[in-house]
Amino acid sequence: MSARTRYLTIIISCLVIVFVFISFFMNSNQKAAERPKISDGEYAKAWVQCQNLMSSHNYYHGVNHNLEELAAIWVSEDGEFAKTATFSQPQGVMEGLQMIKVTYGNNKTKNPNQSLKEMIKNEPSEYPVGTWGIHMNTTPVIEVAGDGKTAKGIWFSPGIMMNYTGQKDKDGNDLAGGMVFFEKYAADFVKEKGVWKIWHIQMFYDYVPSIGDDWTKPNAKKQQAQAMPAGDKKEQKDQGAASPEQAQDNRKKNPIQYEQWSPTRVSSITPKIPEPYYTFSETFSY
Amino acid sequence: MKMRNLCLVGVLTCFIVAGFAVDNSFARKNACGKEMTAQEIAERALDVAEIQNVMSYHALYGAPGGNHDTELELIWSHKRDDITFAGNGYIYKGPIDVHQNTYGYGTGKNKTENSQMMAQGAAGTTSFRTLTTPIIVVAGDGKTAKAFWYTIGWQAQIQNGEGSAIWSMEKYAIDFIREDDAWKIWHFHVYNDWDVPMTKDLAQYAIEKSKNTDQKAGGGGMQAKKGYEKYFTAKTFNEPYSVTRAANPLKPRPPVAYCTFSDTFSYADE
Repeated sequence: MSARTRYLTIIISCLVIVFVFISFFMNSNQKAAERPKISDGEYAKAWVQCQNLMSSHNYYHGVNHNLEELAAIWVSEDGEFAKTATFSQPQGVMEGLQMIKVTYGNNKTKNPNQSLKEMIKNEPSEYPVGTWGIHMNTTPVIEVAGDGKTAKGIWFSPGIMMNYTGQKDKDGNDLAGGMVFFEKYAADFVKEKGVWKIWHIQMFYDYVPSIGDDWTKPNAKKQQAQAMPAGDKKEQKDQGAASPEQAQDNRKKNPIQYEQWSPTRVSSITPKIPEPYYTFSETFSY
Repeated sequence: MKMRNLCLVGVLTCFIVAGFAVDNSFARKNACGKEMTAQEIAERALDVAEIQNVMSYHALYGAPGGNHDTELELIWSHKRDDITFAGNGYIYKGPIDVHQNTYGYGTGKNKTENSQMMAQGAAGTTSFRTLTTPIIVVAGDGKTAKAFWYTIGWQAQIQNGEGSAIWSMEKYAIDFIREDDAWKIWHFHVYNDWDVPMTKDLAQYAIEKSKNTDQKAGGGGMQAKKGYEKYFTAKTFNEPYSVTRAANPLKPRPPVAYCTFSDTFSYADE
């Protein structure tokens, strides 16, 4: 009888241990499954809205309405994401909406302390006559977080920017210059007060030759290609504004030094392709 | 009282009629003629987004620096035995293993030794196919989808100190199939419109080519990889730009709404 009781106790103990283990693992799995995810409809709508945001960026930027772009489609300058907003290029990282506003938005502003609205009103954006730019958005990969609070996307963007050189040929014809862009865009989006906004943008220049360059000799133009687009450079010099070099002083060094195409470059998948994720802390940031 | 009843009946009739009208104005039917629920409409929208992502994955993994094996693993069908990969003048048709050994870097003892290098491409190589102008149609039954893209592409390579670079304009027409709750490539067809060296005028280049009787049009002359002859058919699907080609032929056909795959055409046959 005593032995029987002992066996019974052992069996019951084993059952309790197994039960506790099963309960523990089931709870973990259930917890993972229970994380609330956005619906298919919300995901699809977010996907389309992020694509629209990126296209809007290029429509605004194509006509140099960078301030209007910041006001319309970027995180709010007084919102919770303002300080962590970034605009990254190979030549540096603009961190915080204030720096983006006075570097990408209007680096010739007379008063950097103005609000975006005031800057747009007091110092309207314009492009010099003869300037034309377009950056296409192609080949999108967009992933929306399971929690529906953020999204990530990458695009390949061929583009072109033309500007008037101020010079004439011997027959008196106006001469234009310009650059061709082959670049990748990577962006993080965040839902701010229920509206999708641009949070981080990063550009990866694959090849940026000037119009008329010999494309087989990219190294000869490497320095120029990494600087600001030709139109921007000229305009800044003409009007005695802060030079691109001065503007760059305010930027942090970009930890990603993406190498432009050259006869010796080995190709790589850069930037990383977005992967499905649940919440932003579980993925990488652009 | 009688008047009151009459008014009541009138008001109720109005409500019922309005109810039908609202219902009809909101109703969306799929290509099978079935009225879709809000959830089904959302799923279709999500399908379109997912299919665009899958094709962009192809553009990224298919380019130097990507990896064809990874692409085949992630976004191609693994269950069908009629998976196709076709160009202007040829088609491979077979299970995934065939494509792993023709488009990919090989399997088992056929694995290419320098697959990593093949994936990266030699130094100085660059190539990309952008995806533009998408038309994506999901079947009414949600099991397959058809899509079209125009792709502006380029590539450059350097060998033994000599460089060559081309612009490449192509169309993609793809059938996708739902497998393991994800969209996969089933029939992949690329239609080359024209390739031209970056330093050449397209029309002048076409004239030069027309004088060279050895030039074969549309990928003609493409041969099967050794050991995979039975999966290969040489067939002219598309003629690239030339001095004699008709202006902008609408080929392949763009996708149109369909209920189930047997109701539509296949991009393996176009």
